Amino acid sequence: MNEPKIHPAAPQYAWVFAALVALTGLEVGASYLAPQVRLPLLLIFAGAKALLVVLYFMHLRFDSRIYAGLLLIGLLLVSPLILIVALITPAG
Amino acid sequence: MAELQAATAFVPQRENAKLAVWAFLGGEVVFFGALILTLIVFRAREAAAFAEVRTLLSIPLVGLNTFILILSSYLVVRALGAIRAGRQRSLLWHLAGIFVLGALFLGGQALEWSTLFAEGLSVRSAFGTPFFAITGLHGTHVLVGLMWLVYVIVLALRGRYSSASHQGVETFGLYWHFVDVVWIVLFTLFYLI
Repeated sequence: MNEPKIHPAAPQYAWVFAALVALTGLEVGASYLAPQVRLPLLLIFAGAKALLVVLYFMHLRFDSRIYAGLLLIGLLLVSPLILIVALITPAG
Repeated sequence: MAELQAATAFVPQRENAKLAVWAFLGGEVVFFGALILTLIVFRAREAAAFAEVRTLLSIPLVGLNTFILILSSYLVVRALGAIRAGRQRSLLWHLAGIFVLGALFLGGQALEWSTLFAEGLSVRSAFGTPFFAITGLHGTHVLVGLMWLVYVIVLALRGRYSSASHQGVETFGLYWHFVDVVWIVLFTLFYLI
């Protein structure tokens, strides 16, 4: 759990920031598409943005695996529940 | 005593706060995951109500608010970079910028809420219940982040952070980025899908 050995340089953060802004723009554009088209696109865009923040801004890519493990435990606890409920909930 | 020395040698004290924040964030994943679960149920059962309210939502305003939160996250990594390089004045400017952006985000959310109330959206409606509950809880997290940030700014003003000692900035940053990630998910689920 020592300090991360590699700190991304400032330009790398700027690229991540630019990618996040670009993805947000794409998301807003995609929101005007037909529902069956926009749903997968928006989930991919949101997932990519979340990953960029977690891996680079939160340094999980460079930091101890223990931190990633703590986050994964939370995800593993709640993801199956969300998936099951999404599958069994009848549409209104 | 030898065991204690061995333990402290293996886990440096300065890393304990960071470990605790990550453990807390793991719990927060479950917390917001459970809230998203309720949103999925509401959405599936009340698809017509969700489609109707969608026309009331201002995507440009919320898109701008999303940009504000992303920009604040970028300033957090720049603030951390500044103090790692020993630039205390730069750290302070970045922290002040994060505070302004966080306050702007909350202001944008307050504006959106007041507009939706004026349009007649009720907290008890099929859309209003999960919307106000979940975005409200997220906003509360932003508010808590701002209070934490004030504490970090006070310590920075007192010169407590340096290139060798800056974990207070880093742990605050982890929390702030997490709040950003949650908003990325909520922005998609409430406004875009």
